[in-house]
Amino acid sequence: MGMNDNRNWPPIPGDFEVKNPSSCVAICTLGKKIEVSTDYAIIGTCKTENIGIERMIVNVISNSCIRFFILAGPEIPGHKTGASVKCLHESGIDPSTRRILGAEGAIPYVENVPIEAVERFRSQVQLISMVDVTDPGEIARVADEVVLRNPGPYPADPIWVEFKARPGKASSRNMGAAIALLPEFGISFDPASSLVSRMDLVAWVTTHPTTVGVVMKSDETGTALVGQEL
Amino acid sequence: MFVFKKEQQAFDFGGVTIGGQPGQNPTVLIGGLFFQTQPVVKNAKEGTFDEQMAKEWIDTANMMVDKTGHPLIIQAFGRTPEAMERHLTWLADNFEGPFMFESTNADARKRAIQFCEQSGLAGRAIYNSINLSMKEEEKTLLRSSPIRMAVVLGWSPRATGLADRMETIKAMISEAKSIGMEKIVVDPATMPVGAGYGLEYRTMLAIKSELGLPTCLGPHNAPSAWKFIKQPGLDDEATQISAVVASTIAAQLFATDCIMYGSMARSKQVFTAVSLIANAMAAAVAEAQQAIGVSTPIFEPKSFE
Repeated sequence: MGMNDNRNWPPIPGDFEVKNPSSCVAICTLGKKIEVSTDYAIIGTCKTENIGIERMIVNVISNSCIRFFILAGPEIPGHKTGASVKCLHESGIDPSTRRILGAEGAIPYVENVPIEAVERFRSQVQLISMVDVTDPGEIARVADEVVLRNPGPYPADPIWVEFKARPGKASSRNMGAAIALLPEFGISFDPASSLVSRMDLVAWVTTHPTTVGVVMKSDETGTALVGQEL
Repeated sequence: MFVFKKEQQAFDFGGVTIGGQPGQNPTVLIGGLFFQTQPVVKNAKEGTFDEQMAKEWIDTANMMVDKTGHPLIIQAFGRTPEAMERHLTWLADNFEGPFMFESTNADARKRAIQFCEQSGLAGRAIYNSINLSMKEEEKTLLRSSPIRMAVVLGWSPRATGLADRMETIKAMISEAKSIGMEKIVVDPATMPVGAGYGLEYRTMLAIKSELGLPTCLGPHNAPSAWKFIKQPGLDDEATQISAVVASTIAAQLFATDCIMYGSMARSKQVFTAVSLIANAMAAAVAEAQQAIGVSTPIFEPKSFE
C-alpha cells in the first residue's frame, strides 16, 4: 500500500467521506454531496477554484493508491471549479503567477501548495470528466469500470504537503471587523480607518489559506449569517 | 472620529464655511444673544438691553474666534416684532459675521425677514428654522425675500425611529428648496434628557452618511432643561457650564458642523473646550486619512504648544 503509515490519511479535513483507502478511485462531486454505492478511496465535494482545489490535491497525492479521479456533480456557478480542475489537470499552473492555466473561474489561483504537488496530481491520476452528472448510478458505473484498469499504486512515495502561511501577506487592516453604526441603513464604522460607509458586516474567521468570513445579510424575510470567501 | 464615504457638501454662510468631512473645516459655534433669561435683557417685550454688556460678550467671543480659529455666528432672539427689530438693528452695527434670528412668535420672525430685506442684511442672515409647524404666510414671505440661507429642522412628533426621522428631514429639505433656500444646514433637533436625548447624535451621523449635508444642533437645550442640575447645590454656574460644554463636545465629535451653545456668556469656556477637541480631531483624522490613503484638507487648530 502506497501510504505513509505514520500519518493519518487524508491529511486535510473537509466535506468528504473515506471508504477504502487502498482503492484506486477518488470521486469529486463538486457542488453537491452525492452518495455513490461503489468502492472508492475518498468521495467529497469541492466548492472553490482555489482553496478547494488545493485541499483536494493534497488529499489525493498523499495516497499513491489513487489513480483515477472522477470529476462529477453540478458545476459551481461563478467559481467554475469543475472546469478549473480540468484545466489544472490538462495544463497545470503558471509557476510565477500560480494561476491555473486556461481557467475561467473568479479566482483560479493555487497558492498554498508547491508546483511539485500540482505536477504530481497531474501525473498520478487520470481524470474522468463527468461534470454536471449527478446520477449516483451513472457515477458508480464509471467507477466500477475504471477499477478494472487499475495500473497499481503510483511508483513514488506519497507527498505530504503542509499548508504554510506566506510571510508578509497578512494585513492587519483586515483584522478589524466593522462596527454597526446605523444598522437601519447598513452603515458601518471601520475602526482601523475611521471610515463610515455602507458595507456588509463582516467577521473575519480566518485569513489563511484564504480570507474567509461571516457576512451578515438582511432582507425582508430576516437576517442570515453567511460564511464566504472574501 | 469619522471619515464619511459619502461626499460631504460645505456652503459659505455669509463668510463662514459650514460642512465637509469632520475635521476639514473648523466647527462653527453659534452663540445666543437676547435670551429672556440673560442678564443683558432689560425688557424682553420692548427689546431694551444692556448694550455695554452685550458688546463685551461679542468682544470676548470675537477674541476667542481669533485665538482658536473657530468661527462665530450669533443667534438673536426677539420676543416681539419690536424687540426683534431693535436687536437686529443693534447687532448689524456691532457684529460683522453671519447671524440667525429666532422667536417663538411668528410675527417677530416675519418682522425679522422684512428687516433683513430692507436693511440689505440678507447676505448674512440665516433663517432658523424651516420646520413642520411653519405656516403658509411665513413661507410666502420668506420665499419672496432675498434670504437664501436656512436651518432645516428635521423634527416631527410622529418620527420616533431613525428611519422616520430621516424621512422627516428629507421632506423638510425639499420644503426648504421649494421656499427658495439655496444653502441649508440640517438640524435633527435636540431631545430632552430621558426623552430621546442622544438620538439626535445618531441622526447626525445618518444625515452625514446618507445625505452628505452640513449639520447643525443646539445640544445645550438638553442640559438647560435637565432637572439634575437644577437641584440645590448643583445649580451654580460652573456646574451648568460643564454640562453645556459636555453636550457641545459630544455634538462636535458626532460630526456636527455648527453648534448652538446657548448663552454667549459662556463663549470663553465653550470655545476653549471645542478648540481642545479640534486638536484631537485633527490628529485622529490625519491618521485615519493615512490609513485610507486620502488627503482631504484638515483644519489645523492652534495647539499653543
